[in-house]
Amino acid sequence: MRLKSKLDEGKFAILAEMEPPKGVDVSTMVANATRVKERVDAFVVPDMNDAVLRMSSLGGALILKEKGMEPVMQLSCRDRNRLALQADLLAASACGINNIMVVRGEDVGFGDHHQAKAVYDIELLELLDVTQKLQRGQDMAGIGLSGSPRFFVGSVVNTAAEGKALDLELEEMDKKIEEGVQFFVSPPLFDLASIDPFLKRVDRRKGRIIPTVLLLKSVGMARYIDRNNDKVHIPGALIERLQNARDRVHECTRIVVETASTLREEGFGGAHLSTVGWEDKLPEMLEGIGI
Amino acid sequence: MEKTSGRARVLVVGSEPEFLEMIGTSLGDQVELLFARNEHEGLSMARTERPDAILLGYLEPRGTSFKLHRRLRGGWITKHIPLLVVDLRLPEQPHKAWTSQEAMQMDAEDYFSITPDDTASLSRLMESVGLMEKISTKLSERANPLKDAILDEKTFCVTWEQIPGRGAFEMQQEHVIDNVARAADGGKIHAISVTDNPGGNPALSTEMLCAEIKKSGMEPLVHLACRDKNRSEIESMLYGLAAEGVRNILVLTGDYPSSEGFEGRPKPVFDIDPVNSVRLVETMNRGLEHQAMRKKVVLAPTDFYAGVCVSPFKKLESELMAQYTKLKKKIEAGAKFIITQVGYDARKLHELLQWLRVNTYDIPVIANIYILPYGTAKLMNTNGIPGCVVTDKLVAELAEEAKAEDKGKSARLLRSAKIYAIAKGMGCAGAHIGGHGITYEMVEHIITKGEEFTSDWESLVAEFDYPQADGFYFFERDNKTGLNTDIPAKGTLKPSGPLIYRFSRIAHTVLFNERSWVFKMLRPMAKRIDTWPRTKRALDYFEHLAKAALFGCLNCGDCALFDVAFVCPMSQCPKSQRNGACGGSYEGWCEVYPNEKKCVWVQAYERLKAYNEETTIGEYIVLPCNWDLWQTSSWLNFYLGRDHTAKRLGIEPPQAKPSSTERGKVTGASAEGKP
Repeated sequence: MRLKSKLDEGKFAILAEMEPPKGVDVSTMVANATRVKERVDAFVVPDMNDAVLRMSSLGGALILKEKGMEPVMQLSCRDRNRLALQADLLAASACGINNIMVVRGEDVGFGDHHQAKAVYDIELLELLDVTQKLQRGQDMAGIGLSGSPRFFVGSVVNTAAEGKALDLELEEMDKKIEEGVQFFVSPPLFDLASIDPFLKRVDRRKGRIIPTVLLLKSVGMARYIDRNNDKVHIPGALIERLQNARDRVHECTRIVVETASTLREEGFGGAHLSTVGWEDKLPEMLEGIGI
Repeated sequence: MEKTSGRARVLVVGSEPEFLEMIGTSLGDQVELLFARNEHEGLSMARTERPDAILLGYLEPRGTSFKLHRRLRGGWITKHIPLLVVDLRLPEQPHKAWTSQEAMQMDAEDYFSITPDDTASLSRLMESVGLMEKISTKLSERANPLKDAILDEKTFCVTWEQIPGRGAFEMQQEHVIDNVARAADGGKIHAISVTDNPGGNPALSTEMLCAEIKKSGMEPLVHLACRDKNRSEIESMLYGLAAEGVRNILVLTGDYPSSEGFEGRPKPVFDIDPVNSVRLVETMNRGLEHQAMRKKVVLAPTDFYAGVCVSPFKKLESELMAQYTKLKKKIEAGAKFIITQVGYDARKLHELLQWLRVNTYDIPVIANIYILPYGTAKLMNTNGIPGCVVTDKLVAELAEEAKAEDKGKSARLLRSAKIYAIAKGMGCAGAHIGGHGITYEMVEHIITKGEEFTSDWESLVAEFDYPQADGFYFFERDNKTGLNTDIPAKGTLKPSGPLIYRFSRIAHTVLFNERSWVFKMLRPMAKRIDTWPRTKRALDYFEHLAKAALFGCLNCGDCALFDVAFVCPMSQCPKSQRNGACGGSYEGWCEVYPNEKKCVWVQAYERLKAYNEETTIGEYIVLPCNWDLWQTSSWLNFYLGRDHTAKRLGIEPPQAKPSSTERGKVTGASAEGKP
């Protein structure tokens, strides 16, 4: 439980996102993860990000676990009812996957299977409650388990919320903490000032906050996110920097290094590196951060 | 002068008519627009039109834009074209054109989204993402700073020569890259030229280095020597350069291969000469045509700007004329600029300009300024570096200068600056600066000082009076300026018409005159012999035997004896020069055999002069040897319209089908157009 001990000791943790393949060839994922296994505390395996079909997070996490790496299995209520969710949680724990991260999941309309039926049998807070219950040796129906699982639980928080939405977000955060959540991953962060309202009001001692550090790969991508994602603000100066860069790829990775280093200086719980397809650049980024 | 950039062309791809219309109204008057309405059209137009930017909108069904964007980015032809993704948000199309998953993989120069109400602000939006700036950057990439500098009458163009060095990771290459960076920062140099296996020694390839230089934002000038590459290799290298955006080339013959090659002296190639290389480049610039799968294919035109070399610093009349006649052919082949060989005689440099003027050739000349230290001067003085001329008088002056505390450094920079001024004053289009261990500061110093001296250039001419003993000048001396008048000088050369030449002329006139009755009588017989393999072999054997005895024949089958006054360029010239002398001759001797063998072109000139025909020496361009004809009878090839002379004279190949045994072997040469 490297992630847990890192966070418990108050040290800066490094999470790296490792998307499972769309298919069964896991060689790239394994190779990318193996290259940085010494430096990364845990690999976050998404549960079909953006509702695009891929190998399940349980499968992906299991493969990394087998190779001696510590995974964090993401779990959303979008595609499974309460039976399936509990079943997968039990399977995960039995296989030694103890880090889970409960997320809301994008609407199926964003993905590649528009016709899919969204499930949402239970909602996120209920799922957290179930997780607690399972650990106490009972399922959602109150029936006893033979052997209870152990989980280190994380979730998400929208650090970009402001005004009324921020009140609700903080309220929900408290509830999540009550339900056993011990770390929070935030949406991609590029500018600390943009989450100032959140930082002013949150009690950082209660749950460790791990902002996502997203690798921007092109000006087009940056501008798209800035325009279409309410939770992310990308400063114009940063886009300009990318635009004028002589060596774009190098500039992209430098931005990640700079952002993560700032997070460490500012005493955040860690950084969640999301490299969206450029996982092979992780070594040089970690080198730059000084991990 | 026409600049190399022009109006930008932008390809707009989208299946929504509203989108195409919006772009059309807001951008139509600023750039030239091309429209594509689906994925297939977009891809093929991007490939054939090669626009300066692509605006990619929404394509039916969802996901198609992403797919097309991937193909454009991964495509060989399209990968360098700036790509902007545009999202037109229509009320009836609630989904964004790109899913966020797709957006995470977006590899576009920019993205912006608009709604139909944005029409008025569309151009502002485009300005905000810097579209116009991007297009102008792309246009400036299309521009060729070297070409612009050479053609602009107000700019004196400066190129700086670099020597790549043998090895992959050596300090010499480090210095080259450092120099390029300094030159790029300094902004006074228009191009960095990189020599091609200098001195005939293997070195890091100039094209690799020039592609790297291009990426660093400096304009490269690739030296293309014909010594180590045959015509295919030259063509393929040119395609590589074109794809990397390297367009300036300096075509030269190249020094003879050095004996320092791996396990001894390498095989000299010299497949085509600079004249034909320039023809190849110009053909590529027009769009090279060739046959593939029985269909005519026209390749996308390239954008090369090719220059050539010449040495006016030759001692003998024959040598000098061989230079000028070859230059004439190079210009007619399409050369765009000239760089001179190393020499320090101002009157000689002026002679070249005068010669071009008298012959009404409007082609820019770039004067070579080699920063000359004493050691190198001694070497050049004794013909140690082929083609570079340093006279005894100049060596003596340098010996004096070398005694100074700085070992003559300031004196040689001063000399270089003076040549700069003289070249500029005389009307050269630029200077080509070279030398070992030269720093950017030295080059800049030469430019600054040179500019200062320019107004007073005429008074400097006297300092650069370095005639060779009994050296020939094309024009009479102008005693007022110390330079040249436009009156051609009387030739001093003694003609020489050896017996073999007299005999060859007669034989040629009798046997190889396409209008004579002999030709008409022998042609049917040639046709017959061509179908009898044994007789044909016997004829080839006899011809080779006779010509080997008389001319040292190599049996190339594409005989150029007539083109060089019956001195065989294939066997007697180590560089197989069929169109004129290379720059390496020294006092009439061959570069490879000094004091042993006379240059074939010197011999040819002497022979023609015996018949007062010396002016005919450069009348036409001789095609490169066609290796289809290797070891076949050139007499038959002439009679049957296969060799370059027959083609020049318009002798058609006979219409009859070749025999079945021949059909496979001599394709192209025999069966005209018949598959």
